[in-house]
Amino acid sequence: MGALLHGRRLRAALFACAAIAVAACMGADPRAGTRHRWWAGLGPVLPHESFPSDCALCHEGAGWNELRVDFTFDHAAETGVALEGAHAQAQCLRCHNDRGPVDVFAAKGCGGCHDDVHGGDLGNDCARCHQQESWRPEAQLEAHARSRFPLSGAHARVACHRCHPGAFAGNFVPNDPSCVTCHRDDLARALNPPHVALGYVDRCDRCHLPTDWRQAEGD
Amino acid sequence: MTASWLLCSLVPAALIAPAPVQESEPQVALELRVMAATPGRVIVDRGSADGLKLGDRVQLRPRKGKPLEGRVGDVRERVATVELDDRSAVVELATRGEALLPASRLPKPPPAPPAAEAPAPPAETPAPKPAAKPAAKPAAKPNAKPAAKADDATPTADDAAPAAPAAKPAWTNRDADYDPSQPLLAGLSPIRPEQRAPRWSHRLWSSADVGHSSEGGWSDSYARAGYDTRADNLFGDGGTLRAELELDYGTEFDGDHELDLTPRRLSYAWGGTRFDTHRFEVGRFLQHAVPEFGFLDGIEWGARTAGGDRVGASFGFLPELDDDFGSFHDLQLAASYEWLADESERLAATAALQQTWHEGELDRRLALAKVRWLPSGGWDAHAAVWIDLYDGNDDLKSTNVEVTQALLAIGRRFDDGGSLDLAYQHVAFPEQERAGDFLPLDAAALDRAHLDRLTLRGRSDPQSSFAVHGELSGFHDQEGSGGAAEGGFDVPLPLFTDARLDVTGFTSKGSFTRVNGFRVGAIGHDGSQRWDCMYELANHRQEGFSSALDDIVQHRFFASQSFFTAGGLRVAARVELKVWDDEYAWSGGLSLERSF
Repeated sequence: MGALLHGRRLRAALFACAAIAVAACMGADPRAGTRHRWWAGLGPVLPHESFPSDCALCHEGAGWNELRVDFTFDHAAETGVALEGAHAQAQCLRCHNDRGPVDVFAAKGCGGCHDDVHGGDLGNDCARCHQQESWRPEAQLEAHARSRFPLSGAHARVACHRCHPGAFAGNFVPNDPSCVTCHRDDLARALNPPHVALGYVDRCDRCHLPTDWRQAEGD
Repeated sequence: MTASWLLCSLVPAALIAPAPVQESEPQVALELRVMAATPGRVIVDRGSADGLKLGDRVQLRPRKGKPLEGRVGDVRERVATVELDDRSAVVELATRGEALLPASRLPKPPPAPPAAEAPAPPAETPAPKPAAKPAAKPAAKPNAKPAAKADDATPTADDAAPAAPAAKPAWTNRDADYDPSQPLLAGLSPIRPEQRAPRWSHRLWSSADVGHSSEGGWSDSYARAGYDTRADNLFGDGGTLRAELELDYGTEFDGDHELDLTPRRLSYAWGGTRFDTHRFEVGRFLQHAVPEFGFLDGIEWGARTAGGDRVGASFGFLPELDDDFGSFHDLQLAASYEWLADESERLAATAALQQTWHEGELDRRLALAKVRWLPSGGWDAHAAVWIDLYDGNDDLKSTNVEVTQALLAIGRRFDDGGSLDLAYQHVAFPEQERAGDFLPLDAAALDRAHLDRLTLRGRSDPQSSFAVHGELSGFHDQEGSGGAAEGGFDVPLPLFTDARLDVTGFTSKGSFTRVNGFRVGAIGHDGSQRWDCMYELANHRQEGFSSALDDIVQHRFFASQSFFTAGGLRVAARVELKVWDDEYAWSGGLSLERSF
């Protein structure tokens, strides 16, 4: 019993209780809120106040819920917000929907609508690496030149996931820049001379250049 | 004779001259729209009820082309006919315009109802807090919208005061208040999910990249293809089905090659809308409330509280973030609470806890706190901190509590497109059994390794005739300190439209390398294509290397071209060449993407 009270299970149980308490107690009975409060405070999802008074310019049908077949909308001219790149092709309801007023989401920038696949690691300024035509990042070598580890020689040709194993999922947390972080297997294989036996296990840069790992260079 | 001649001249002139306007009376712009058009003539959606009179001058602002002017030739209560000066001009429907009218002609706003008669907010709906409306929205032009629309039960600020920037009254006409027997404009009837048709959207993409390096003679190639789809309201409940499937094939430079078919996402989410306070998502997905906790194979629940805050919890397995997203090794339980200052959500704070079990054993215990503040004026402040809580089984760390990651970013976006950002980043490596988040470190490095970085960057109006940009950063880690500085300018590229030339110089002191160089590049784009090319020359000096061969002069050329079509097709190609010493490396890539 004493072991149980002082063991990991107790800590785990306490953590689980705390997590449940956060969800259950601080929620203050979420069912009491029958609808989101923005609905009362901010009006319709898609404000029509600045639109023409002639509904038939955009809508058709008795309920005015359907858009005309020839409906066009100059988002920049009508709202002052230009839709650029891939956003120009987006369906209206991808942004103007039941989640809430688009003002709220637009104010948050890209993260208002897009998942942060980087898990918050890289901040909120998506435009540093991405542009609106495509989500393929650009100018990564230039960005790396500002890091602790500018990519020299052959390093500039290595695929990102060789050093950032989570790159496929957008995880680019900085690695420790020591050579062995990536070249641990190479160190183990270096037998001429036997690096590990001789204690050559760090500061590889004293003998090796980043242009080629395979052999040391000298005058 | 002279007097009669003068009289004869002045009378016709007086007759054809526009009616004099009292100089002391202010003029206001009456916004209007074109409802119907024939060559040289349009019908606008404003009439005598809005203050228009016969002979008033009207200016139209077509989206393309120069403004057009005309004169009101016929006026009714709600509409007016405008005869354009250019009798051959054809104007598109909904074209905006305005008429300048004396302020006295505008209809008076209806008197405000006594406060005692204002409908009380419903018990379950909290009263709106002050400053609910984001201030970033540009102020509306004076808009003399027809205040005489007595059937409009929800007068707006535009109706109430044509020229005064009055605060918009709180929206009180709730969804539940709408009755189909009411006039159309009496209330707003949102279309409920069951009234909407399902919508599908798809994206297909593929890319191929190849590369070769002369030094060592190695090559590698990667081919990727993916499909993701999204079905909204598939079952009439407003839910969203999302699926992402990716096929990867790679031949690494060491000869390894692998083919992976990975479901990146397969989830169904419902709720979390104005119709449903609770939100659920099941399947494989990125956690919605706290994306910092990563992808999940499991279930997440979230809810809006009566006060508008959000509470959430999630349970399931964490896929490893490698190329095959292996799962069922790391179980996690998480809970979060997000506090929102008001409806605009411009100030929010989140606290969250996550506990993981690796292969059934307790692993990482992580606390997360983050704050986001979006005050007006283009400011953006964001802070997040990851705190690892260690217990007796975490013997590689010399502390029980460690901040393993922290971000602080304060930035401002200016109206002209310029920006200024200050960011601080701290990274350390948590002790955990879970694999794949970062490359494994030995025990000493795991305890000592860290990175602290402070960055200041800014740029002026990117569309100006001479724009400048710069970045200054410094870092400190367990081995030492360093930093980088970069500055440059960009100008419109002569002989090209929508293209700019950029010249940047940079210097950097890294852990092992000191770099000095510059790059010259050009970028052009319009609605259907984007291209860029760049040349970079830099000297990479290896600081620890003890011979005279420590200088590597590296040239880099890069070019890319992308095409976009209205049908959602994107084609992009890129090529890059690097030359240093007597060696070279090149790479090329092609990508196709189609959204439909």
